[in-house]
Amino acid sequence: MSWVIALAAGALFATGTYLLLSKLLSRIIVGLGLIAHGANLLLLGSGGEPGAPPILDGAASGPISDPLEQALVLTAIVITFGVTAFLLTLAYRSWTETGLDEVEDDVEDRRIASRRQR
Amino acid sequence: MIVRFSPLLATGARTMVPTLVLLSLYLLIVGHDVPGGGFAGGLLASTGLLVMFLAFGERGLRRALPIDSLVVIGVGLLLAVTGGLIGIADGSAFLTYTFASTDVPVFGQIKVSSLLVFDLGVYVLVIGVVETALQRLGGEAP
Amino acid sequence: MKTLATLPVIIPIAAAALALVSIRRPLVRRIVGLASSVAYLAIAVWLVIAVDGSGTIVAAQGDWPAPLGIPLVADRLAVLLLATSAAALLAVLVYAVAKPDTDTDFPGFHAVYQMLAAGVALSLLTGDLFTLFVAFEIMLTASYVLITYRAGGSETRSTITYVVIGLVASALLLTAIAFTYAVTGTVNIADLTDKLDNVSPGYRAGLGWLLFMVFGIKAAIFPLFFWLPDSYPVAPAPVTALFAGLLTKIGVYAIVRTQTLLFPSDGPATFMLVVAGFTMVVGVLGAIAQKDMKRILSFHIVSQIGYMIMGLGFFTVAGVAAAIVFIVHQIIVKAALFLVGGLVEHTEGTGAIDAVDGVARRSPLIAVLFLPAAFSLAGFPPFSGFVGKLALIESGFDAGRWVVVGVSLFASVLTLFSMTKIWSGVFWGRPGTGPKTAIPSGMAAATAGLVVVSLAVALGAEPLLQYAERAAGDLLADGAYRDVVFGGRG
Repeated sequence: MSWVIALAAGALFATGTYLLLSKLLSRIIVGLGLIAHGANLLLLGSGGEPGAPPILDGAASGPISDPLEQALVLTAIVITFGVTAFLLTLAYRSWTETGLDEVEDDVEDRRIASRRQR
Repeated sequence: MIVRFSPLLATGARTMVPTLVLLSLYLLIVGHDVPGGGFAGGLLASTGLLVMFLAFGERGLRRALPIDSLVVIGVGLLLAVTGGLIGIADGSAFLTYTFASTDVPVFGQIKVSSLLVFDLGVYVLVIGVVETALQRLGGEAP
Repeated sequence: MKTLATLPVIIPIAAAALALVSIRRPLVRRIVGLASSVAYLAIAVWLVIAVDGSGTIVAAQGDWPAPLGIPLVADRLAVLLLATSAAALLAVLVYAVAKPDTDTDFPGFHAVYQMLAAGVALSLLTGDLFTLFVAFEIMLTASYVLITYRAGGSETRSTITYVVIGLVASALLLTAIAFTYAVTGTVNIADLTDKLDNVSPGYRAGLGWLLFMVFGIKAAIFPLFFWLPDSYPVAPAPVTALFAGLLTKIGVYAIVRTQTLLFPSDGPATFMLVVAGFTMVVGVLGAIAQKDMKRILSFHIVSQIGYMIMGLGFFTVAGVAAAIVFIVHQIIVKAALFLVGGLVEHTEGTGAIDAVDGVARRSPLIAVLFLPAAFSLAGFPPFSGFVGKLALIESGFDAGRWVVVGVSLFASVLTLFSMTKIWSGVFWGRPGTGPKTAIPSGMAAATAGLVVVSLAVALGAEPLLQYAERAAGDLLADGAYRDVVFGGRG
């Protein structure tokens, strides 16, 4: 795996995790997107050395690059895209209902906090 | 609320959309052994939908595709499953495919794979999904 | 023959498509959904008989031979869980159809439900790590829709937690797959059993732990369970029942599948037992602290997952077999209990222990349905939970793991305590005088069906245990899985 890819994936995971810890839903979604990109990049880097395009009747001379991990990554991207779109819709709904972009605390946490205040 | 659409975009859309759809159909048909296929074709065709939406709003979307978008998704899924079942009808496993090539006078030799049905399903499905997204998310903010 | 192993995936997808096409015809949608689920169950039962009689069925999709294509591998474990899941899916669907507001709330319900069934079948049957990821995504995406369609206001937040956790777990699974592919050059499970032997032990152990953690999030093991009790109770009753019965168990199945086949020599066995112990105790303690039927039961899901991990952690044929029996028992009983919880909510309007009283007097039928399921969960003889727990404890003694067995017995006592809490809180006491909604017969029948199945599991304990031992033997026999998948080429 090229070290550039490894480094980029690491950076994506790190920033994604940082954003995930935020309280704003929009940031969480961006963070999730970044983590998914990191995973996809890792998957892309997990194949062998790069080479000629792996097309059936393309007159490739020399080694061709591994088509499998490209197929895998394409599938993964489509899935991530779909689910992220769904999550955005959910965030939109939450925003239209409550006007808030914030993810509140855990239900239990809030219950305990309110009990302590009493 | 009255939304004004750009006449420039509206004029452009009239020529752009048919071209996009034609190109997407090309991608769909050649997809079995050169880059292209149902997914890429479907996405390109849905760009056509997107242009219609931008140029004419929801009315344009309805005019371009006057069917319920969920039904479109269902038809696409059904086609895709049928395409996979052709292999079973042939006596082999699910998703097995066969080729047939014919000489068409003007276009030269054309290869048709039985997976074209599957690809067509994906094509329709992608269009349905994009249309649903445009309808549900493209409206005005409440 | 081979096609039959593919049908549990194809039929629900086709049914989902038909349900979408007939989105404006509620009756057609219902018939399509029910017909698909009945066919699914019939094929699954047929597969159990066929696979037990004549061995694992391997269906190579697209006729591509094993290491290249994606095989569907119907072995004993997969088809047993498929049949159990099919029973739960059918019962919950009947309940949902009978429940007056399911269809009107959400016209896409049947399409999504069938996609979830397809995802479950694909997760169980696939012989390919990446397809397992795709199957999980199909299943989880469907579950995202089902859990959110009715949520409003503050409930939306709980469901967002569920979706976000699901997405993080998926990204981590993808990472694990990328690492696996980088060191072995394959994602085919049968091929991996062999090729992972050539990987350095440290790396292999790392992969094993990563996969354990990823599926552990989906299975809700300690300390990765926090999302479950928060989000499950939000969904409508049939959806919660389905999730409680199936989703976490598919996570456990993935743990069993990957740890036994891919990392048999260096599975984190002792670590697993520690995790199992904590999962049991923390889950049940959480349940004791709750005051709502659905929330109590949600914490019990977590607690019971610990028993399954414990059986796997013994890494003996008897232990894995006991875990398999326990999974079967749990799928049925958990779904049944949540359906009973749904019945209480339906008649009384709420499932809060303080608010409801005397259901045993007001609706004796619900009490009759609740008792066997609750006793079964607590592990009372002669119910199905007793069978599973006895097998687990015996195998634990044989493996010499005294401590964790002791912990599991302790957790059992607490489980019984928390069941009596529901009983005394909801069913006993002076019957309230508030308005009462009648139960549609379909809902009662579906719940009763599941309770009967759970009793049947208890009655057929001996053959089931023997079957599970054969299934566990298949998993732990060195190279057996590989030989079958690669032998299926001709």
